[in-house]
Amino acid sequence: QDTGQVRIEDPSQLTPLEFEIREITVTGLVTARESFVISSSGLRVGERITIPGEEIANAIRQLYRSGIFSDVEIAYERVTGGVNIDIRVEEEPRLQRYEITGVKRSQRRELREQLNLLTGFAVTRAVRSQALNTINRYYREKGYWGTEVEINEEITDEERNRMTLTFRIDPGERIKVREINFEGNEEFSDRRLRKEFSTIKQDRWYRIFKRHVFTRDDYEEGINNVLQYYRDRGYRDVRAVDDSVYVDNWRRSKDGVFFDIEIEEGPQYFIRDIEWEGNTVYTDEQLTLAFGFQPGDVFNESKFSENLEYKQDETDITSLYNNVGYLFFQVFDDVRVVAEDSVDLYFEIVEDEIATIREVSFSGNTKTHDDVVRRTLRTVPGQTYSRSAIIRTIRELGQLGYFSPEGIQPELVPDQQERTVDISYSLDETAGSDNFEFSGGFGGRQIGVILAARVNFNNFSIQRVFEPGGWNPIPSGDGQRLSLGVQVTGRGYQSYNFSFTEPWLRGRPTSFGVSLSYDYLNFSRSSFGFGGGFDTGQDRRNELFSASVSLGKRLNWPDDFFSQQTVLTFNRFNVLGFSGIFEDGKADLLTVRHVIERNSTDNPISPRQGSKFNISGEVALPVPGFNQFYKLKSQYLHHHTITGKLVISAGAEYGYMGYFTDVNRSNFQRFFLGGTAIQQRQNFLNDNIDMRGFPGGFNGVISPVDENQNLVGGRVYSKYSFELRYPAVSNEQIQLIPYGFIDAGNTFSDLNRFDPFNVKRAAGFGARIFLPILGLVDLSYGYRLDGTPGSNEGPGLAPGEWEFLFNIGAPF
Amino acid sequence: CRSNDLIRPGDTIEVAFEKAMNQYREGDYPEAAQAFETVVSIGRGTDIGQEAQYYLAESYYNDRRYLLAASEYERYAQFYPNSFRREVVDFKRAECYYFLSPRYRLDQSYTRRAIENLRLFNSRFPDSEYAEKSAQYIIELREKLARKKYEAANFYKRTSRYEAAAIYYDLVIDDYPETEWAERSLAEQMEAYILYAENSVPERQEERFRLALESYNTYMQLFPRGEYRSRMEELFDRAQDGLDGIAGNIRPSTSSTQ
Repeated sequence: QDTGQVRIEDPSQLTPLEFEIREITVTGLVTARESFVISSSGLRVGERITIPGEEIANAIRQLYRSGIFSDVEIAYERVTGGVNIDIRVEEEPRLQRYEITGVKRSQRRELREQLNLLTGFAVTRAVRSQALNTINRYYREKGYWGTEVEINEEITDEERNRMTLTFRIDPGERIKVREINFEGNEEFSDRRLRKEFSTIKQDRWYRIFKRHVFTRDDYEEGINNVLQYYRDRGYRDVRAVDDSVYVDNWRRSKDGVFFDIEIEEGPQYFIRDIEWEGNTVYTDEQLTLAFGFQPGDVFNESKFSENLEYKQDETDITSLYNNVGYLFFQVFDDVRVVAEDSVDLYFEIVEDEIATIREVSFSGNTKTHDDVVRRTLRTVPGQTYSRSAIIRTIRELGQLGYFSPEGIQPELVPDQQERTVDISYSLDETAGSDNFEFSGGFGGRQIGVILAARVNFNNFSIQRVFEPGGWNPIPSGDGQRLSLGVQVTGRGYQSYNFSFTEPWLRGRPTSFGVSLSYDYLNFSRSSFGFGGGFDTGQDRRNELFSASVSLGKRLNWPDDFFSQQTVLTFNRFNVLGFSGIFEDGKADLLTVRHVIERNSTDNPISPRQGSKFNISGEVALPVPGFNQFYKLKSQYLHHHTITGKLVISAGAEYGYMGYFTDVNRSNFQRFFLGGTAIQQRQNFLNDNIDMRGFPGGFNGVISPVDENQNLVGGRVYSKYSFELRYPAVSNEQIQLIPYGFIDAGNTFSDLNRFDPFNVKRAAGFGARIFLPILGLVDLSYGYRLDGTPGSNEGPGLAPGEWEFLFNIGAPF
Repeated sequence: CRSNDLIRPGDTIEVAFEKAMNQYREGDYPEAAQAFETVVSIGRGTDIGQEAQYYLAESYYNDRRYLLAASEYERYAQFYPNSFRREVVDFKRAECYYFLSPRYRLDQSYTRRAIENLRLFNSRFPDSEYAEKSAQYIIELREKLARKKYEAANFYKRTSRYEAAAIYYDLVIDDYPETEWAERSLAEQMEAYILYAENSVPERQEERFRLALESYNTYMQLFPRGEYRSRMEELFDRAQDGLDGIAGNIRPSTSSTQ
């Protein structure tokens, strides 16, 4: 039978010819069916194929892919009118299951993830040795050098030729890095270089949390770090001439890993001259200034490439060009050694022409509608290309909260001929932008235990409410915010609120908001045992119904960080038992407030830089039967990064409340300082200003006191704050930002008594914690430096005490 | 009793397949899919394994889990490229992506994937009974993609970025000329240019009115009996008035020199 059969050995030697397949046979089968082999090979009797050619190669590939053969060979025999094909397969036992013994459960689990052994696939020699390599590599990474693995094979299903593998693992002794030695280093000490070799540390008893096991990658990275350290100090020629890693006896017969690294430092280079060529947009002086080096400076390699290519604050040479449209800009550098220790720098610049943005697209918005994304993009078709616009876009897309900030990737497709560029952003929708808050806690003495629930839908869509399939599970995608909240206690406090915001009304950059709220507080003053019987036993009741409509707009002038907002609010108060402050009964306010704001902060939770300024005017219209006042407020808060992640924030704010006439003056909405939103909820008749260190509530606020010992609230206030903040943890699951603060502020009964430096102070520390499902939680612990006088409400606050405050929501 | 329908360790592959088929016939697709999954894994290399692979995909398809269905159909096509089921498998795989394609306001990756697969299907099986349906799907999906771009253009127009709008209307006209959105785009583009001109400094107005007239001419050539013809005529008059206005402003100064 063998006669006339040709093995396909070197297809390139043969002339491809077409044959018809007359017959297909399969040899070497154990459990697989012939029909399966033939059908997966893709070869068919009667078909015409080329030999040598695609079809045979494909057939072999397909059969291997089925994962059940360890060897596949296809032979053919010429017969009259075509060929007979013989498929020879070698079938290996297939994997039924596998086990790992001798090691901890956690390691077994990790190994299973890495091993990638699939049930039903053939256990070939390659599979076995790959598994061995994986196990050895896994333990090597953990610092075990002498791992022994024994593979036990057992056929556990004769009929189907199935095998069970058992890996018996003995990881052996863990060997730590004991010594890192340098030779040839003259300029810097061993100690200094070890510090730079930051990936692996020598094991010492006081290094509890550091890695001191050896891995190849860490070791190489460490050497590179050391060399980079030299290069950044002008040693351009530095080399690691020799390095060795070995295991040796260390102390008390313990083994340890030793590193010996020999370094040749070479000379330290200084810059002698800097020359630019080909630049027409910027002058030599401008470029040298941006480049940041002067003749005589040490040649710092990292600074060199950073200032040329990319620097965080975009002051590098490439940004200089890229930000004004020169996308095709290129710079070629030539560093010439001109003396023992000097270099001349030549730069050849190819400016090319300005590129215009053509198509701007994005993908990955599986929940959020196009318009919501598109309105956030700062790169607009037809505009000049700008790298900083792309960076700003990425930042602002991240701030939406709908996409994971790390997952935003821009892709540029330039067309050099047309001088255009297409930009596409790939987005990654986060699991949920909605959150649900449920909290219980102590809400102050007048309230007692409080239960609060709130749902925020941050990517709501009204339109989807009425569309089929829109409730999946919540109508979403239009970037509208819908919030519903309830707070109740057993002691007569209730609060309900609803708000809806559409940031882009009818597709235009005008925001529209509606909110409704109802607050009710009912308590008896006698239960506090204070007040000298002035009105003991008298019940107090506060009620407020409030409805408002707002319209806002982002402005493009003076710059595009400006926005304005107009709010129309109707308040109906109903009070009882505040003799001396408010008259019993109902009172109405109809106010119009206008705010102009400039906000350039880069992050709503923990800004690194930028500032926020706003000024607002509010008028309670003197409608007959309504109360009247007017109010002016302004606020400024500035953030500045000092070093690394450490940020300093400083701010000041002032407010003034005046009246048009002597009649119907409103005593509602006067200024009270202290606490945060949670502590202030019982004081809903007032205009509450947040302040740490002072607890808020009826007895914990800063307010002028009238001759009858009533807390009447200020008509003027000032507040200053100062915060030092360090975002210690910031990832998608949690952000943790500890801070220290000093707050100072005061309220005054009218303008004549106003003294901007007569303030009550508190200092302390705290932390903000952001969890996507909970929102932002702010905890602060403040030490009061000044106290408040006593009043009908209580004895006032004593100075020199600590005050813990808890809040939900961002202060910026 | 239902427990008899479930595959148990001792079952032969034939029995297991029959049990899975029973669940499939009863319309219990999630259970069926799980059962076929088992049959596929133990039946690798058998004819039954091949059948099970097909019905696994079918179970997911009928259960409307189109992403899973598409990947199982794909696996079938990969393992059994010459099966008689190849035609239906290829079509259904493409159809899965058609079903996955979301409304135009969201990411259209699946839409593009569907079009790609449908086109591949039509070129591989031009005489298929599904060919017409497939072509119909392609038209429908391309309409969706065209609309997406058209709405992006409208967004730019609405927010007064007329140049960006004009570029995007151009993209619709170039990329989707056969759709109804191309015709609309020309009309909207003409208006965008007019608004652009009207909101420009006097020196730039003329060239922008001329661009508007270019859109008009293109429209008249492509859609001489178009739906928006009367609107185009109105816009034409508006652009012409604009141009006359500029000429009128310039004329007094030229006549004074004479």
